[in-house]
Amino acid sequence: MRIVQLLSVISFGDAVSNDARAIAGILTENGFENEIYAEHVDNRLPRGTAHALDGGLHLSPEDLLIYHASTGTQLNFDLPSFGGRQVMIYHNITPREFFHGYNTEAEQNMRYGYEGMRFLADKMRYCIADSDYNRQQLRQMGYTCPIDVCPILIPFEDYDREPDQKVLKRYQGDGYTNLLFVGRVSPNKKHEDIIRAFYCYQKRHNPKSRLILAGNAGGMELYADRLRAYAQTLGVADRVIFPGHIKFDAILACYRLADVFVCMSEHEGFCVPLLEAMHFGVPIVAYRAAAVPETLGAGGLLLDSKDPWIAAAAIDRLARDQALRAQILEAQKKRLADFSYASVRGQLLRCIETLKSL
Amino acid sequence: MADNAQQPINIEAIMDEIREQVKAGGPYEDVPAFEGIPLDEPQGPVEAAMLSQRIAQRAGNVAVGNPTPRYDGSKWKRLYKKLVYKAIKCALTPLGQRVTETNYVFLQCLEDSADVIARQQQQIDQLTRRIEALEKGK
Repeated sequence: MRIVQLLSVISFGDAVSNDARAIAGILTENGFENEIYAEHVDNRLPRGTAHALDGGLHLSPEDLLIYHASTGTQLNFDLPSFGGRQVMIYHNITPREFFHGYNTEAEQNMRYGYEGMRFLADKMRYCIADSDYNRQQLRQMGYTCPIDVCPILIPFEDYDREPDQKVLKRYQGDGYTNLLFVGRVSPNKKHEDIIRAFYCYQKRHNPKSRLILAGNAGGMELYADRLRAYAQTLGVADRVIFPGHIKFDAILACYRLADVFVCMSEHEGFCVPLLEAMHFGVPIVAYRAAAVPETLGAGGLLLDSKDPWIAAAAIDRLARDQALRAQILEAQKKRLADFSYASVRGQLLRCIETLKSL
Repeated sequence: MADNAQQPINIEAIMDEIREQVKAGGPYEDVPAFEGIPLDEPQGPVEAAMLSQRIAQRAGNVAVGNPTPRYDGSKWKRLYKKLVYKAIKCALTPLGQRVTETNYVFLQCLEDSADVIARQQQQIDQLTRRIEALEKGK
């Protein structure tokens, strides 16, 4: 039996690509012959990581095709013709409404993605969802096949690498409280609500503070500009930092600098940065939406509204109340264990047993 | 502190406390809404910058790759499609490369144009300010 993982794009450093590579490792460890194919293969990846999908796939009936669904692509419609026993790992597609006014192409791509997911609803034998939230979405789109939840495999050992010393020196030890959010600058992540909460925090609780919004704004330049204009209007532009597209070691430095991680996202299929913050021992304040409460568990303060004064007070409480901070960090440590390599590997192997029996 | 760290944590109770504290600490100013920040409003140099951004947004699509053909249908139909695709691929690939190169040339022209527009906009703004100053001095 040959196992093929298929993605639209496999690139260096994104969660879906990392998940596919980690799954390939586990399959190989367990004696399964397996390969990764993608429409677009990032040439920064080690040679042999994945093959370019050139002319489709032709699998025999006993082969297994694991399709990573996360975007709008013709692949969603071509998939049934590739043969084999087909299963999907659903990573979620952002609703197109978030991109309206910022990027027409992204908006159309997301619409195309949802059309693709609905097309595949009666064609998959089995699905794996990163979260129960994603599972519910598949059900709402008409999927009736068995769906198991298995979190994304995260290479936590990568986060123990050396952080960027220049970034650390620039912002460390100056007495400022650093608030952090890590994630693509994208309208569904509601960076404006983080900026608003920061405005209230620095005004009411702690003027000696800064907000770092680390993430690539590629394709969302209009949104990024609007955010900068908003920070300017609120008079906090000098302390809201948009590093843009930064290297991995600089992201590590941002986590090491952070005193509180703030997430106001309204749409996440899993939210890897929450686990990253937990790994670095940064307490979390997050808005209750989509898969965020599920991933967070009891490992952070959850906001039920976007009231910026409440968000600011929650941030201040975590920054100053050492007893609460210790409790939250302990809860985060426990929650993080649920996503350890060993734990997720076990869940994935159970899913593979299910796949074999299809 | 070690004892506190081990007791189960009641997040809801803590959030209730925080909400009560905030309620008691009011009133609070109205924070300007994000919706009040215009999205596309031209504002002199900002207009030129918007042009550069729009060009940058579309720059990712200049490369023309080979199409991914659909090999569906019966075994013989699929074989026929595959043979036809292989036959025309040798013509398609260099064509796609030439189109990509042309697209990059046009992209560079657009980016250069955006730079010229941005500089001219700056000159216009400077001249406008000088005119206003001169008219005030009359």
